[in-house]
Amino acid sequence: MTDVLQTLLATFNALQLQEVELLAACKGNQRAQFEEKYKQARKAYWAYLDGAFKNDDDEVAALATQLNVVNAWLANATKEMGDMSKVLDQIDKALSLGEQLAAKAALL
Amino acid sequence: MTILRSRFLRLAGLLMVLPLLLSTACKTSTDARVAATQLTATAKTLADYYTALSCIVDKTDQLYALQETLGGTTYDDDTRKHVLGVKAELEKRAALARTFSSIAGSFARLSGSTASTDVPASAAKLEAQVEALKVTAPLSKQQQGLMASALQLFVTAVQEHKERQAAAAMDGFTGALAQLVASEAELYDSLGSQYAVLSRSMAMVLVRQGMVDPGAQLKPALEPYGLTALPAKGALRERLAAALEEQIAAESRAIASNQKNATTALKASLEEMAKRVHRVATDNPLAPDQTPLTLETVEAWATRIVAL
Repeated sequence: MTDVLQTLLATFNALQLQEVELLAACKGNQRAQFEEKYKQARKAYWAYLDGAFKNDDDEVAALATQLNVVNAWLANATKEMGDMSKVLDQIDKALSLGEQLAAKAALL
Repeated sequence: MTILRSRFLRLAGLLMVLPLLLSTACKTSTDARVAATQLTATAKTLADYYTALSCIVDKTDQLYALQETLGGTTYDDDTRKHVLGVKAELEKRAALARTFSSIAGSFARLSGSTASTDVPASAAKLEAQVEALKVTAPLSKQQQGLMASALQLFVTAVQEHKERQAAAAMDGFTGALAQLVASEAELYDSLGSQYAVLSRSMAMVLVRQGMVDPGAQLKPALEPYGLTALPAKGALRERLAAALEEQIAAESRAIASNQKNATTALKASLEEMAKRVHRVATDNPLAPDQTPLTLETVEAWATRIVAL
């Protein structure tokens, strides 16, 4: 449980902490895209909690490691705000890994 | 005639076993009293802990709505459903802990001359609450079943004033309860962490939007003289706002770490409780110098959260 929960929480907390700055840096439809990704991260965390799945699986641990790398980058996303599309790409990557993790954990 | 005879036999039987019942209603041993004290205190604290966690989720729900109102991301129905689902689960655990608290009281009263008549009702309620829990691994359905059986044995033992048998019955229950909390501790701590980040984020937004007067920080200098600050302006306002943001960040970190400390203390107390009950159940004397319990940390945290 630890790895999945911690990584989902790290993704969501990173976005939450920088939400205002990142929203302000968005141009055109980037705001809608960011909001959608934020909501996806928030929902993934709460859905996981609600279901409270277990985690003992090696594959889950490997996915968690990958997501941790992306999260480390996301934690400082505001430094990259000049290139908002790059920020959105990284968020996409984190969300995709988070979804895979939650799906794997649900099967355990 | 048959009914009268049956009633007579039952009464005669009762009169015959009465001296035996009275003799087994012996003085509770020191060990049992120590275990009972731990059981009662921990059960109450456990209920307070879950109530505080439920408050955190409640406040989170309100903050997401506020976030939307302040122009942030909208609060979607799907997420809200999960948030409320988590809250409902925490409330189930709080209810279970409250019922457990009343059961623990019965164990503590075992030294008295009368068995508590409300024990069966409380135990039945607790049994139903155990079954209603949506538990995480490693507490399986089988373990939930064991908890329910333990309660039935406990009721019988209390009614018969047998403290060691009651302790033996509680042994399985308290062990499983300690395991439940240990296995879910990460979930609980994550709730504290997300709340700390969310509330910090919202407070920062309000400070930056100029919705908060940072001049309130001048209060310690002015209050002893009965003076009130005017709304801060210009460079002073900026300096005070920066200090306020640092203060918010520090308090946010404290919210998360206090939550973790409370969980750690609660887990330790539950383990100690289970250990003491187990010793009474197995007739294994407790150490003469019982170390003080760490429930104050949990109570202080719970009181603060509920008061927020």
